[in-house]
Amino acid sequence: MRRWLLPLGPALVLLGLFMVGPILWSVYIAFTNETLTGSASVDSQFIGTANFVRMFGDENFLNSFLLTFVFVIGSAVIGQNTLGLIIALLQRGRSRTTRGVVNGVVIGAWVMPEVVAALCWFSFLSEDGTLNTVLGLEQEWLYTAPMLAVVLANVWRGTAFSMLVYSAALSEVPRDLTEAAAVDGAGARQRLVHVTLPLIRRSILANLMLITLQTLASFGLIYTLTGGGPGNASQTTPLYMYEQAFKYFEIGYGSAIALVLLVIGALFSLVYLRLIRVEE
Amino acid sequence: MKRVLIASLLLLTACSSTEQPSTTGVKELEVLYKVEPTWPHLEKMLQNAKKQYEAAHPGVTIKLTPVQGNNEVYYTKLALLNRSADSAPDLYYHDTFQVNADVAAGKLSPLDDYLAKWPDWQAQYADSVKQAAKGGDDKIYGVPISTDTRGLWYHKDVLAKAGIQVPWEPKTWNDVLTAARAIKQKVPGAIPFTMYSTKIHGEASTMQGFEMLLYGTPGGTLYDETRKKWLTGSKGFTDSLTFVNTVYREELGPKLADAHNAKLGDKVTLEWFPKGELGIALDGAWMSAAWRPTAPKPWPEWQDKIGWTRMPTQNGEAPGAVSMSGGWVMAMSSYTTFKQEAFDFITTATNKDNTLLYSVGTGDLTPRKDVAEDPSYTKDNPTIKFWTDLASVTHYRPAFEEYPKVSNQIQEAMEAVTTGAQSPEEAARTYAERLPSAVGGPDKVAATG
Amino acid sequence: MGRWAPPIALGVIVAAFLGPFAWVLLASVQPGANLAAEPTWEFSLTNFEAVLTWETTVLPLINSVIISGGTAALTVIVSALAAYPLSRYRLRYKRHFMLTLLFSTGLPVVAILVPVYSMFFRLNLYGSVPAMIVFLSASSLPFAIWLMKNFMDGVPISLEEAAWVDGAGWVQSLTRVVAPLMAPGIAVVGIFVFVGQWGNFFAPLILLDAPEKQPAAMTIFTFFTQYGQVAYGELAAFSIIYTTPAVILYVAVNRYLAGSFNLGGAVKG
Repeated sequence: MRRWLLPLGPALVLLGLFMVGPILWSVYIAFTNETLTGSASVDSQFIGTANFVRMFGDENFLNSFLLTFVFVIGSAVIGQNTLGLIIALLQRGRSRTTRGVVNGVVIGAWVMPEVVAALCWFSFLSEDGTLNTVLGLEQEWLYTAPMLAVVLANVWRGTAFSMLVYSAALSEVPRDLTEAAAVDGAGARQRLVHVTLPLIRRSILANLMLITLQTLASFGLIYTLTGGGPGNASQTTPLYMYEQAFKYFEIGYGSAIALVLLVIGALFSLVYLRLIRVEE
Repeated sequence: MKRVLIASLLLLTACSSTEQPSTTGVKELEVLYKVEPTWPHLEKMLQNAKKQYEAAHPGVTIKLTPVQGNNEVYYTKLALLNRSADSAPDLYYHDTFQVNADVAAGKLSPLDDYLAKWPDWQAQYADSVKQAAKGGDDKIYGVPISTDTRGLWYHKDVLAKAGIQVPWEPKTWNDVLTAARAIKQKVPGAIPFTMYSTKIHGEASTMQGFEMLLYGTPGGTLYDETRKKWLTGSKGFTDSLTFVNTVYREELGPKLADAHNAKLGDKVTLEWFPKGELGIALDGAWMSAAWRPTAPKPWPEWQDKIGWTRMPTQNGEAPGAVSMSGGWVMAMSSYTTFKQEAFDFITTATNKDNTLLYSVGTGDLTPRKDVAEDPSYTKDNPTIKFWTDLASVTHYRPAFEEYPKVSNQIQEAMEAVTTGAQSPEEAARTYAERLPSAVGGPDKVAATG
Repeated sequence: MGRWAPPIALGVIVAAFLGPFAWVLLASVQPGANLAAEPTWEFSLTNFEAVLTWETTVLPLINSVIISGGTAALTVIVSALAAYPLSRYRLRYKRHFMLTLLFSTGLPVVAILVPVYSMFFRLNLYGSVPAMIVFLSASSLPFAIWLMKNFMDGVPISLEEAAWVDGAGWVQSLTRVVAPLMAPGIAVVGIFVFVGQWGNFFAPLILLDAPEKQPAAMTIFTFFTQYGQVAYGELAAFSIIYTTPAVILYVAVNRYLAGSFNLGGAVKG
């Protein structure tokens, strides 16, 4: 018996049984016309790549795909990533109290269960909600700008992660390096671009990879906040997959969509990992 | 490695909580049903039935398994449970429009042989009600617990302010639209008319909204029974969408944001009607149940303020009005081992006492004649007779296996018209294009006329 | 950039983050509150009183503690075991394994619920809380192992060598030397998993049968989707009761949190 097998064993068994197994099953189902009810549920057939062909002619799927792209870029790559970095930078050199308050508020939004976060945003954006009251507007945000709403809600909820990553990374940037640059006459912006950011580039890439993957799979927040609506105006691919699999009971088609989602996640990761490797 | 695997499996099996099949010869029947915090009535009815049944049938126990959540959650859960014989409940509360999908999959047991020997079936259920859970093979797959009809609710004060005489009895669609226009003009601050017309309201949009229009057009239907084909391209179809279009383009309906709000129904019953901010609502017979003294937000004055009337046919064609009916049944799984015992439980659950308990609680219409005549059924609800009488003009959905998917396409079409993304003609065309793939092939579809 | 710019910017950020939470917080202590943000000077705890009943709050919260706590405990044990060889031994394919773990943190769990559900039935586990805990642990493992390994990497191997000299095997080495030294890290992993599961309403919805086994996440989901319009203040009160344990736990490990987010070296494997 190899010495690593015993400690690693339980984890491998659990992962194999509850993750790898179901994933392989999903891969198989993606090539069938399996449904949850109706005649195809008792007599499902192997239909080759028909589900995938159907997907690329399915307007609703393509729409969801585009929205997922907007959601990932808007809320994760731009929103959480940038805001997290900004907050981490602003916090450097602040008093403990200030940091405590900022951290508390930002992390509070992150720790909150998804349903509660959705409730907060639902009431914040509702017709007579806080936002309209403060701005003196009469907007039905969840109807007129549902994508903006879910993007903002996800930035609100997820920024803490990036902030923590960047705080940790920045704390390891040696102070004398930035100070030396300051002595050489570099302005704040130049110090940031030429000294600090290059030093934490690996954290940036790792963070981008993690939040991209998490946002790509994000389901609960949108499901509880807009349900993908109005119509399918905020129906990202995970929501579309859910609708196909659990509302219309087409689990074959739903699994095929999940598979595509998985492949996209893998592609994103490969790009980031390649970038990280180039760094090394 | 192997040891670890076996150990984990043993652990898992030890954790298993599902009851083992009993060895003492006691028969167990599992009943699946739905419960919501605001909707405990079915649970009360079944608990009562369990008590009665177990007292009368020693040796048989009833296991009640509730599903907490709305209809959609219930459908999903039931579909998942029904995937294998081990997990399928023996009996379940079933929405009539889902019945045929399960018949096609062989999940349901036909009841005809048992019904023939049950005197109540002949004596207490009207012929139209018996059809509620009829399969494509003409067999009966469920005993109705509730039924319903649909029509118009209106606020008397709002209509009076708009110069419309109450009691109001519209004869054509145009009468309805004219009244809505008058409200828009003369009663600022009131929404003239509401109906469900977006995807978020699911089957309510199809049934309370679209079908209430379509089945009131000349020859209007989704499915041709004689040719056994789904229909496209009828004038009635486009006209129905045009009605929806008129409501939203002339701003006779709620704001678009509200039309897309999952809580539109709550807004209508709990907010707009009580505040006098709504004229007319196209909705179901059960609406007034939300205002009863026992409801979470009672509205004692509703009987003075609210009127109800039939939804007219398009141009007043005979029989003058239209209604749609659905409802829920108690169905028996084809996997159950103890069929006679299971059927006996159905008869207990749907006996007079229990059906009465349910109907008084939910405000749903009862399928049983003896319950309908019971004074406690009609006592608090002056609308009951009216809604029950609509049975003479009511229609049932073509609840075939494909129906849920057809319904989905209708919702897409309605929503496109509601938002103005498509004209009624365009939406009808899109429906015609997509219908074949929804129903499983072009050979199942026919163009009208 | 002026001296005052950073504090002002931070102030704006704090206000923006508080905004969405404000009305939920206020509404919870205002009787008769609804969706419209119209604060009054009234203050009352009636909303809290109304929801603090056995079926609405207490039982679901107990269930949540059992589910989240069980998952956290199991995940910590399994991931600590798994992290040990990954941190201490030279293994082939280690980098690939770590990256695969990282990649699977982005897996849409919804996508595998149908097969997991089928499997639960085949193994006669449907409705079993312990079995669901095992599944939730499996789904939490990738990130937990990954975090745990990073913490373990921070414990110098030299400290273990003394134990080895005394004849200790890897079990003693892990439990007596490594675990005590990385206690904060273990706490962070445990709380991470606990809080992650605290909000999970999807797995319980699909995998559990009886309402009396459902966690608070399910209650609030049902409450929100069906009751929100009628009793907004109560919903807000319930939300606050339900969120508090998660926040308290985070505050408890806040000090150690920073260390766990040092991703720079972590992706190197």
